[in-house]
Amino acid sequence: MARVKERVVEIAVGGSALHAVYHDGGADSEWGMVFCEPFAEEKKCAHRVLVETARTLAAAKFGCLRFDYRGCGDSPGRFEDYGPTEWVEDITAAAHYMRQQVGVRTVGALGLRLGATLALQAAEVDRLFDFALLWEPVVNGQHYLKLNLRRSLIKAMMTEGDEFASEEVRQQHNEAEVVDFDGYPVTQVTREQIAATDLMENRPQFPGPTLILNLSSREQVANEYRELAEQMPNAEAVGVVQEPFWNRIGLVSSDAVVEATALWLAELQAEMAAGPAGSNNDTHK
Amino acid sequence: MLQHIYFSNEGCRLLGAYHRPADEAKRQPIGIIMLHGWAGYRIGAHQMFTKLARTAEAAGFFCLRFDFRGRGDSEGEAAATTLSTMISDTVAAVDWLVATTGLERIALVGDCSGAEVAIGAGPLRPQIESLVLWSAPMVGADRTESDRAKKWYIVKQYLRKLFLRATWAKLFTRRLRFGMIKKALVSGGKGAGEEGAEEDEQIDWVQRFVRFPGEVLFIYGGNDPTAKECISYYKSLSRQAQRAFSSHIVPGSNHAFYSVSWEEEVMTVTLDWLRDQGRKVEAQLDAAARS
Repeated sequence: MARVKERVVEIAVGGSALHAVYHDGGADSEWGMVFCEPFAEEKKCAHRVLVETARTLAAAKFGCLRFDYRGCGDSPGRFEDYGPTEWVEDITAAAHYMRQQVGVRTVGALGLRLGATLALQAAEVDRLFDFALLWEPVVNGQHYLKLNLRRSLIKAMMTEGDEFASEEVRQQHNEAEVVDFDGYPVTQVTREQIAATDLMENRPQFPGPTLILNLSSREQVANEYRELAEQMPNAEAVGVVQEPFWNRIGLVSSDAVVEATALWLAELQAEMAAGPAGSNNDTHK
Repeated sequence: MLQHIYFSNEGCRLLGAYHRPADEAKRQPIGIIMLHGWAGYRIGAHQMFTKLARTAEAAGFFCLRFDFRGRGDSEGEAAATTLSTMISDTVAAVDWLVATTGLERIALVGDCSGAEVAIGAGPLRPQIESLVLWSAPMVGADRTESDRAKKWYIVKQYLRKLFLRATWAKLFTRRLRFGMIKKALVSGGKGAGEEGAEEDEQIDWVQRFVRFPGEVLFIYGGNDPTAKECISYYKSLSRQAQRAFSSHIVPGSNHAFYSVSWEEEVMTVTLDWLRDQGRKVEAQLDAAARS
């Protein structure tokens, strides 16, 4: 692949300057993507996949903006001082950056896991995004927290052996001010905000074209994603056979998900180019 | 102050996060370069390197965290990265930090594969005077026993999962990923490519460790299944090197120190040790100035 121009940039939000990298889609690029990262260690595991995805899409003339939420990665602040509310603000700031600083006319969100969920929340703001790509979004926050509880239980079992008390761990997860998610101090406020997430109950009304990718060992789409797509105004759900790179310690090929993403984007571009006057991409000039 | 920088090595542009202490007059005489693990990137496991660098910066250390080629935001093909390329990138990082800061002493802090890289790079630049090695695998050794211990640890984890209702629910709804479980058992917890490239086998790892003229600190998790064997191995190599063996065990911790209290202990021990190294350097410089 030819070297794609990319540069470190900063996005101003809430008195902070978020660390970001912009992958330039080229002088004639009119489309851009804001990457919305997953939560905690999923971000670290998925990092290289997202970098390579951004490079692939930039080579296809999509300007791509990847950034670290406040308290995460190389952005300022401590992890425990921020949560979903601030991270949705960060996504909003990133989208505005693309439109105002970079000058891209058609801006989409590409979110992975909780990042996809937050992207949908941000997208509810009128005209922030024109389309959305949601990779394995977290549909039910309570269930997602339970997965983390399960990991804590196993870690406690392995560490404490005969002294392990599962009820103590569960209670801590439910009541403690700060819970340790494998090195990430997660506050009660953050847990409550994640737990309150329920995309089936709070039906997203984002009107833009949306692709939900269910990444698993099967091509069959899971019920929750099929139902989510049915509830949204303009969404489809597709199953892609893809290893869950966001919770793997080693490197994983992401060819399948990137290919599915690129194909859908190409189709969307063709549709919007052929679309009627007054469609989304005509309004952000 | 944090600044993102690029430097080049062998045709690849590498991204680094460069931490500069606010008061340069109070700066420590040693710079720190952090070397991430095999499939990680510059922030480190659960952002440990970011946190360590911020604390170290506040304590007066110049620090550089960077992405090896094929990792993080650096250029290069992911599949082409080897321990040898990582060693080469580390040497380039040392050259960059030395040229930028004027410091003559560098400490490498390596995590897991990053620790192997630190050992490989140690003797290659005279400015590298100390190594802090987190969860260092046994370089140049037969890892059969250690791999067996890791696999048994993974088996135990899955056996533990059988005691959780959620596991049975997944089994009955056919959501258990047997392929993933099999892969974890077969690979023994290693990532793709981590088994080692041919060029890595050409390195005389034992000699690199023995030849290293500086000081070394090992940190392991008490619950890391490979810790006991690794410590025994490096004690023996340290005797061969005629170097005192220094280590710290974090009680109860797993391989990657996955908890706030464990990581805090690792970072505290690391920084305290590096401060001591800095004091020794200053004492030497004072003595030299007086004589």
